[in-house]
Amino acid sequence: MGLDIDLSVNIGGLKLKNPIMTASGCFSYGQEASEIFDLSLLGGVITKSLTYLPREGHPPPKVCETEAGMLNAIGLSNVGIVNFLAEKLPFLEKLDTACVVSIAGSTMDEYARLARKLAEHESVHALEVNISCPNVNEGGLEFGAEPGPAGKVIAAVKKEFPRTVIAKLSPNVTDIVEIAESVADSGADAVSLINTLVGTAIDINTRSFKISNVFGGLSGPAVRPVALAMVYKVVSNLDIPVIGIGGISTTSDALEFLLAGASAVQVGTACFIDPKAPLKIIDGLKKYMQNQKIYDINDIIGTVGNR
Amino acid sequence: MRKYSDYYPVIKKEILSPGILKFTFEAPEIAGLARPGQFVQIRTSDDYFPLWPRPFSIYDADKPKGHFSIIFKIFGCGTSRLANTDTSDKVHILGPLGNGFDPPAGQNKLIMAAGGVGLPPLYFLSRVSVENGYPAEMITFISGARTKKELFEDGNLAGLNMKLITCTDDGSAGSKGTVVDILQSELADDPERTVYACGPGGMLKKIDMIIMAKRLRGYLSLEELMPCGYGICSGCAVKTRPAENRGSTDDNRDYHLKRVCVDGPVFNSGEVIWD
Ligand SMILES: Cc1cc2nc3c(=O)[nH]c(=O)nc-3n(C[C@H](O)[C@H](O)[C@H](O)COP(=O)(O)O)c2cc1C
Ligand code: FES
Repeated sequence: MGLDIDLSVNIGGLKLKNPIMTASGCFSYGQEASEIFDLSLLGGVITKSLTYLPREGHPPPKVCETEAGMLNAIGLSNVGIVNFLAEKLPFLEKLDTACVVSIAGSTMDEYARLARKLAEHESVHALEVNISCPNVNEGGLEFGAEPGPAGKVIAAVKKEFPRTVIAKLSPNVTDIVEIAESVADSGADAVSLINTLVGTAIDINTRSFKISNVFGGLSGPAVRPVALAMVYKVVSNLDIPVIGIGGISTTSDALEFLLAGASAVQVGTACFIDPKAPLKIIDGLKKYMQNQKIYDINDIIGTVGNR
Repeated sequence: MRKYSDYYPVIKKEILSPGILKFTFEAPEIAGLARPGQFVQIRTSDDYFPLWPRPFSIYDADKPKGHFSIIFKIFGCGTSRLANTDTSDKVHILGPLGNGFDPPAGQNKLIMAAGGVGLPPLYFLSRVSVENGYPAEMITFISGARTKKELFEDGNLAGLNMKLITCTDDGSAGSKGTVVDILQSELADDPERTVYACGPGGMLKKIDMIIMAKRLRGYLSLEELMPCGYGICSGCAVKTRPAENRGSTDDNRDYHLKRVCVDGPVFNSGEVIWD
């Protein structure tokens, strides 16, 4: 008779049955993947970042493949808050998993209005505030690149939304710890990191950039060591929970982040290449814990260095 | 629509011409659902070289046996690695994906315009249409390639008894001329036809212009590399004209982005705004 394994974690008031979530922009609003597997097995689903009005985003080509990674300049194409509430939320609220809505604004006011609208829906368990999108001209990173504005956005959202607020941080800054401290001081219940790293690629035959927007965000296995280092730095300097993101594709990738102190992780690009990657990671975590004779996932988190 | 994501074995490898291979997989779930015009995403290995799976149109599906097949040309790292798998090796397959073709309706004659390895979905459509009672003599199938070496045929196509025209750009086999040239002369003889096309982007664009100019009904199947293939990333977006602007080529008007992987790969003629 084996002891039950407890994978549940608490992220600043947000209860997750396991620490594996899907990353914003890498899972649409969930419906497509539900044609492949039961989403209720996930710890949580994070939606594509919503803006107040629908957006088409940048013109094609929006993506290109790089070594063990990819660049994207989707440009926050999304259905907008009204369509989201009418067409996407009814699907998400039927799932037995945490529903986290990602929001992105081009003004402080847009963030606040999004938060106010979403606060009305109890089925939105948490907000992830995207202050780190490298792919839009206005807003996005403008708020995430400096500690002052980053903190102000979070304070504005916190005022409107009574449940868990997660600040999603950019790696494209001089000191990510400074930004993390600022959003924590402004009331963020947790931080998630990293968003994509700014990059570009050129087609030498056509002498043109491979994506229409010239600059895109690098994601996938190639970014994992960078993401892990940033997560470890933030964990070492902050008291609120940290959610690790960046290149996580396998159980051992996820374990690296948990050991470094992330309380949960998000799987992004890996969902593209294997829709069931998050499920494989959950199964793999259980096996790892059985082998290590550890029965509570919280006994793994942040234990790098203790043996 | 239900989709499956799993490891399935290669059960047969055939070389159709140098560098052009036919692979058959045992994947009952996918074979059972596959419709003409749909595709699968395949990853040969769990590593990241290349990162994205590669899309392949379904050439045929045998539901009772639980098999389906693809035909592909060795092109880059994804297709070379697939070519190097052995029978009984398992590869990761996600499918069936995409909208597929609407089955031909009414009494219109059909023209299939296949450029190179654009042939598979059009063969599948023809095979199913004939099997469902569409008269084979009402279908003209144009299969073209650059040269003789790149033409391929495993006998199935001829077996359908359609009017089959093969062509090469350099005239080394079949008629001399491109698929577009042959299509144009066929339409000159008898313009009342519905056109189905699959092949390189340049060819599709030209065929789209012909269909629009002649005000015919037509369907184009796009082939593109894509990150996910099941609608979650928006990476495969193409510009399309809203329905009310179809037939107009003034592309400075509004456009909508559609996802090739779920809203396509089959688009109505007049829908896609080409670069
Ligand atoms: C195609 C694509 C779209 C993305 N869209 C968003 C988005 O809308 N909002 C956001 O906060 N992050 C977005 N991201 C960033 C991911 O959520 C994640 O932070 C990043 O990709 C790193 O994780 P990964 O390597 O596991 O993909 C996007 C990433 C990709 C690849
Ligand atoms: S390839 Fe991801 S949405 Fe089409």
